[in-house]
Amino acid sequence: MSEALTEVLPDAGGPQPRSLRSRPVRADRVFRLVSYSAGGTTVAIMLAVGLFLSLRASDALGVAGFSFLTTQEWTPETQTFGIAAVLFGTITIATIAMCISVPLALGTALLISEIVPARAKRFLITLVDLMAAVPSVVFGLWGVFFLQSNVIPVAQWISTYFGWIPFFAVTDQSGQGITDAGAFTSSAFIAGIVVALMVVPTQTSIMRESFSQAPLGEREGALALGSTRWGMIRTVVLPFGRGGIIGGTMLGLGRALGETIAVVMIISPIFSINWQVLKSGTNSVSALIALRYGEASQFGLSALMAAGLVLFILTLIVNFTASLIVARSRSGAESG
Amino acid sequence: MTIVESEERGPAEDGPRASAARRTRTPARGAVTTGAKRDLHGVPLDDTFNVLGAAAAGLAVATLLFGWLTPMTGYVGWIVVAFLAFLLIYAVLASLRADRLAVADRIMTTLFYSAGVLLLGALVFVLGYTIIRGLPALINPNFFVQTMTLAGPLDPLSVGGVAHAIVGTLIQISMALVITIPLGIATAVRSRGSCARSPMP
Repeated sequence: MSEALTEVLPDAGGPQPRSLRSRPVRADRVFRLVSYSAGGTTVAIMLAVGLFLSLRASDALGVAGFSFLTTQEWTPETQTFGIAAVLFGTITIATIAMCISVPLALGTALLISEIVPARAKRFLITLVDLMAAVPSVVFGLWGVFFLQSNVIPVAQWISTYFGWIPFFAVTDQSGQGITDAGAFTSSAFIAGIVVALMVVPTQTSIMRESFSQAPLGEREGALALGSTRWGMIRTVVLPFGRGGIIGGTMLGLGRALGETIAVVMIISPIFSINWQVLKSGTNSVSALIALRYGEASQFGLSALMAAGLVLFILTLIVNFTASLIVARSRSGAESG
Repeated sequence: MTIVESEERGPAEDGPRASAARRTRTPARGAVTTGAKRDLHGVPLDDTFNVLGAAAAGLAVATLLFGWLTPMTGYVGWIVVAFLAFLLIYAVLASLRADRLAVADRIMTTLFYSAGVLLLGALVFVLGYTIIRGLPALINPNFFVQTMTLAGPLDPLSVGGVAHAIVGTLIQISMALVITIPLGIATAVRSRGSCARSPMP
């Protein structure tokens, strides 16, 4: 920079450009030190969690090797353990939750940001934010004591009429269809519904936030060209809010993957891959850890740490991608 | 609706008479017919009747299917069938007066309202269910001020409480806040200062 300046100035012998370097005073130095160390601490804590998990998990991972990802049983005492079944259950529950929560969140976010009048809007925003604060154990209680008995007829109906779709079928060992209510309790479907209700307020508020930032000029342009309200939403609000939709979905997904207590309360844990989502029995990584850490041996604890590490990496990837997409889309909307 | 009178007088011709003739005057009343001001807010009357009619028809169709015509049972199925019939009949009714785009607009608006009602209804219901099931314990004041030290499993709800759990929760929250608030603020200040593109607003 200083070289460029001296080149521009023809009179080298005259007044020299003064140095712009500033010497920080003590308060500045202290502030910088404090804020840098705080930022460093936050990052260091995150790294320490990952490091601790990796160190403790290395014991079990060294024994299991690559089969840790492909084995379904979980008996660390006999050295056969793997997370194929629990990881499959985690992803099943999260997928069901997303299938239910994303359309609901999208519709509600559009309703709040585009359709209802201003006074109702403030009330609804407060209500949705309030709902995000409901503890997950309350959802778990509701899922066990109310939802389970009321959703079983629905699950029976789906398996009867849509049983030809493989994952809606409910069959016993010999492949015969079963319809008694006992086969439908504690399923991934019920857990998915409860998890969906837990993540939907977060998704709604992120999507609503991004919809309300769609530029006014384009909105009015669309309406002035004769568009209906739905036409305006389709051509202006949804394209500008795309980042918010993806980001909100993935933040909800991150929470759904890690959800523990509500899932523990509902599912009946099994250690085999269950493709029939309506059938009783599923599992998830966090439920496995919550249920087994109390009675685990030293080696079993290491195996649980390895499972936790996989979940940690999975949610980290999902959350990181989500925040990246949200940040990208926001800066794109500002420049465009 | 004002007209500036400036016919056959150029700008060169000035004086008191010219400025007097250039006055602004309003056109005579009655020359321009203006209709009643259109109401841009709210729902037109025929659309209200469409919604009501379609809702009644949807309920009737569902009841007919579930009670008499087919062996379908269960109130969840009844609600689903009623809702689908409502959507279909509403689309047909709307298409009598409006074009395809307007019908799509009405249907999508209905779907957004349905999503909102379903979601907020479910969330409020979760809370309400918990409160109603918990009410027998909540109405006893000892629930908030006593601990379970002297309460056994067979004691009535008027003995014992969750004071220990409340205090424990408060202690944990306080400790967490003491650690995270300074750390969070300082980290936010630091990352705001150095990163050009911060993800949070």
